[in-house]
Amino acid sequence: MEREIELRPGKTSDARPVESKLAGRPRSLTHDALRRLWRDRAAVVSAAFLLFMIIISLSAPLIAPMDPTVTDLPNRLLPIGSPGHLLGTDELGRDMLSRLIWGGRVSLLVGFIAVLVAMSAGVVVGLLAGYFGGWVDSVIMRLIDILMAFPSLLLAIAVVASLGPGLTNAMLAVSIVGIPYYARIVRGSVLSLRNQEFVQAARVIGASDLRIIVYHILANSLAPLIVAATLDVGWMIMAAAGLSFLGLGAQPPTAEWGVMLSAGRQQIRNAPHISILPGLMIFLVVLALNFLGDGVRDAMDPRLRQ
Amino acid sequence: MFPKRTFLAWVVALCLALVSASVAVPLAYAQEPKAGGTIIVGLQAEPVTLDAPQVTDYNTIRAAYNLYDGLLRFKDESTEVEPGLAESWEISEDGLEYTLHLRKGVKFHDGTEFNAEAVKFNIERQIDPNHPYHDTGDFAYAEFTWGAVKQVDVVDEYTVKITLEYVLAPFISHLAMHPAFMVSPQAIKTYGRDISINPVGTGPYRFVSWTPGAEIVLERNPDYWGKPAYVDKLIFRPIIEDQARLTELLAGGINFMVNIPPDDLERLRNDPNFKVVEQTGMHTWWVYFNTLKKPFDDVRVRQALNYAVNKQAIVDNILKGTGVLAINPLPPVVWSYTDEVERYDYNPEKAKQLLAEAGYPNGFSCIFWTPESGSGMQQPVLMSTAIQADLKAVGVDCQIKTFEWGSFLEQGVVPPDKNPEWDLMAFSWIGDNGDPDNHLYILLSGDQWPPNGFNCGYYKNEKVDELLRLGRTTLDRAKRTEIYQQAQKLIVADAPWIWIDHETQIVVMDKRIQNFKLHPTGPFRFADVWIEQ
Amino acid sequence: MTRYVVQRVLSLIPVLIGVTLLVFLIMQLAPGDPVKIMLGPRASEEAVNQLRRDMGLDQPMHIQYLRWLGGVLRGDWGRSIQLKREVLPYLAGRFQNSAYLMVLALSAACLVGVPAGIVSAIRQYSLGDRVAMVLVLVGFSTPVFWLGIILQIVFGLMLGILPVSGIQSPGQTGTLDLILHLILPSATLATGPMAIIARMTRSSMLEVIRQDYIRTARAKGLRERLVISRHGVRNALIPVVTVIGLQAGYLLGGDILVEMVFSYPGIGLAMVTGILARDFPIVQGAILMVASSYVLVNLITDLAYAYIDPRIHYGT
Repeated sequence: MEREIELRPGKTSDARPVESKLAGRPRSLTHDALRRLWRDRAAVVSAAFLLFMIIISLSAPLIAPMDPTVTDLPNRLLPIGSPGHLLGTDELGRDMLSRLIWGGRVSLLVGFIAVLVAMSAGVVVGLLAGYFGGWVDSVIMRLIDILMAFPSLLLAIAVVASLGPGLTNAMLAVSIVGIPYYARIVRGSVLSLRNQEFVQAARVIGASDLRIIVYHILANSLAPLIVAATLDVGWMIMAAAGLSFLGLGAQPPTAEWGVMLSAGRQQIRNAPHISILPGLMIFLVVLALNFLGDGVRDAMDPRLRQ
Repeated sequence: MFPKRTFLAWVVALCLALVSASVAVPLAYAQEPKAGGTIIVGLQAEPVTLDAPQVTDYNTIRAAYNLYDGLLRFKDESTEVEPGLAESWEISEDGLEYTLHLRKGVKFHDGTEFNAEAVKFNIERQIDPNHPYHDTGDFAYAEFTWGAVKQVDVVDEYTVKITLEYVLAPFISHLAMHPAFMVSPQAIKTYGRDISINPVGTGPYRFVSWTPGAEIVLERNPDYWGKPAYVDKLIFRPIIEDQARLTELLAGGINFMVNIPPDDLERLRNDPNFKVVEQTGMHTWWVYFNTLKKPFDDVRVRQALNYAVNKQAIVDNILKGTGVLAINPLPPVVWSYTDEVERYDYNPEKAKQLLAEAGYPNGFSCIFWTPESGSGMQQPVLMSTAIQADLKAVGVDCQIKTFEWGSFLEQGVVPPDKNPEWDLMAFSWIGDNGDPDNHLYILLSGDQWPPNGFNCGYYKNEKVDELLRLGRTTLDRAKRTEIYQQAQKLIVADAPWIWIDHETQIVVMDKRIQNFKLHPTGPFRFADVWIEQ
Repeated sequence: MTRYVVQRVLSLIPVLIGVTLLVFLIMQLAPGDPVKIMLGPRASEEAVNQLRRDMGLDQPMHIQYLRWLGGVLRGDWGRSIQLKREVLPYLAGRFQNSAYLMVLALSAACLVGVPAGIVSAIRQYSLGDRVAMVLVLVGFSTPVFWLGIILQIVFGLMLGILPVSGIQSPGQTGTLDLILHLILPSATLATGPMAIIARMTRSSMLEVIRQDYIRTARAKGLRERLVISRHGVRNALIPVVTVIGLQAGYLLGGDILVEMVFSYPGIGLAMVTGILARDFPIVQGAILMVASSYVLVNLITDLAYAYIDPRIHYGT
């Protein structure tokens, strides 16, 4: 709550003129940014599509025509448009439409949660490194370097190999792989903010480290983080699909787009729709996230506009 | 777009096939075996060694097999033994001494002589920790194959005597297994551990090159002691993805393929350019019950779950005829097999009734482990998911956990005091030597709970144990048959597993490849194969 | 400059030790015994124990790691548990294969990505810009393993013009044969870096053409083409070089999924099979190789950066 008030330019006290001036910026920036974003048609359409997908996923139990786990072996691999199965059936005779709806729920959840976990961990690590500097920074950055030097999917595979396959572990694995990305972004913005006047001023008037980090530094690093996160959700969904391809993802009979896609590849000649449909969904969602991420970035960085 | 086009292509191809088949059949039989040509085999993974005694998997033995001859060999399409490098043999009255008379004039590919010393060297290399060349390899099968051997004596240059510690009826079959393939002692001395990538045997083919990840090349051995092979070169290529391997076959990058995806088999059967060779293997695929845990200690529950699974539907729809329905843990190709056992045909009503009788009218929940893949596991995840759905239909709610093969074996196959988490576990077995002992004893005897053997569900029936012990120490085939048939009836009535199918070994090859015969023990023999020009 | 390079190289050592230590620990934590996996289910306890002794796997963890590290320093990378051969020559071959793929994929990515980015930036918001950016995103948003399978069917089977798996035709070793085998996997692999490079070029170019010196150049009456090529592109490419360097580093690690789909014997595939078999010597050796190449490429990129951009000096 307090932060809300602080961010409003009109209500900040005169005792902190420097802070009020700079802390006020995000508000008007956000406002302008939203206005600019609204004018970016690709981003708006993408956002609408993503919202639609999220609504569909949330209401999966209500709208899915069938139980996505009930098999019907004699009626497997039915084509699109079969009576009773609008989008056909998969390799065990399960309804494709229902599985796509339920699968979206899982895939989107994996993408968002993985990003959230990676971002939270990355932010904490990046803030610590950037703010305290010195040996803290050196140690953390060496650890980050170590993580970065790993081929990303390999690290995820190794993590899943030791934790055991499954959705939660796959999610955790791709999150760990994502940490350095956020840590570096945050550290970068901290380094550029650390010595700015408003931070120094806050320090002078006796604000605690935690307060400075959260209210002054983090608040001002949000823009690049949001952009990065939007673009990253798609990457996480693809990485999780990659783990599913290797058999390390969601456990049967859970529907998840990556699992559906990789199981369906065995039927690419006989029933291409069972891999094309989940592939298409992943593709559309990732594409939409990229357009939205681009739009947000362009909107927040006015220099890129004409 | 392409399904339509391929469909048309298939129709055209089918018509052509019908026309050409009617014309071509008489011609095909007129062909005489011809030398020449190359067979390119698409394997599903890279072989790990070409040193036969070190082989532990099918994929590898397929590449290594043609480099060697065994002391004995399995007859074509059978598990009966016939002379190999040993021309004849005698077994002493007490069943403890095996005297082998070796073939004369056989040379290893490096030109050195094959003789009794070489036999002694090969066996002792595997089993004697003090043998100077014991550390030139890892011999996983040594214990199984030679565990009963007390000593090996050279009687004269071409006679060797193997003495056993105890009577072991299946031992004669062991002499035809890959640990009894003879490797040149000279080469082992020269290459040390690298014999693994510089194999030297006596077989119809000799080693040319191995480019890791790309190909293994073998060429015809012109100095073979027997009838030389016809085909000039054998090339083995690892192609991991099933669909990629199929594309390579259709595009001509390989002309011989393993692991055909069941759903694509029908189309290959109808393709005039290819032929499908198949044979029911010594294989069984099943689900273990952990019989020490409730409720699986109750035979009614185990029977109920057997009734609940529509095995025929799995065989027909998922395996598409690449397996035959199993009604018995023993595969039908193994002698002593009987189908006069209790049947558990699909009957969900009966399953529910049995569950109610056992005190579980509303079912229960349990944990079902299955590997992602693995030797002989066919399509483990798909099959397990189908079983899971069938069990759910009678109220048994199981949660599947998949594992990669390595951790699956490590965590699933454990002694009972480790108290494994699973209630149900998918597994499969491929017989090594065609002896019923190799299935029934090792998988179902109370003596063979892990870590001794693979009775992973801790099934125990004193009567069965007694019969199985008797079976492996009796030499008379007729008596053994009777013993094993009795054991099968008892085992099936106890329903310690849900057995699903026996895999049919299937390979698809260019139709010009002639006279290829599959063998129940799995390897590919190319010595008698030729290619029609 | 020399001092800077030496310092950077020295700072790589703790990173490399960290990477190998981390993978060692993860592999130790992973359930699954390499010896049991290799010897198969039917091996006797005795054979298992013996192999464990032979491989030094019965030693405490830290001894195992230090032994391995000592071996590496002496040029002995150990023997693979599963493949029964020397690790170093085996992995060197695999690494070389991945490097071929990297070079081809990255060249393709640059050849398409950089011009696409430049043209898009010059004509920002034109139809061409939109189409180009959508196309690179399309490539980027398609899961590679799925794209790979589609390419195999279209080019290998339907059109029948390209080999679909492996690195050479049976019995052949020619360069042309190699290049033919590289086309489909490198095309699949190039989609990701291509998108990243194109987008980076575009945004960098957008930034540059708003700079004062471009305005000055235009004001001087320089023709637009010259302004762009002489002043714009050269400056815009500086950050792109970093991105290309990063991508090169990543791709040298071998793309596991692409190598799997195409059964391409690269280092990524070697690592996955190594992990699944718990083959420590292979996994650690491969990670060491990949991580070293990654940090070295990064170092070279940084130096190249300094060379291209005269504003940067390394005084220390």
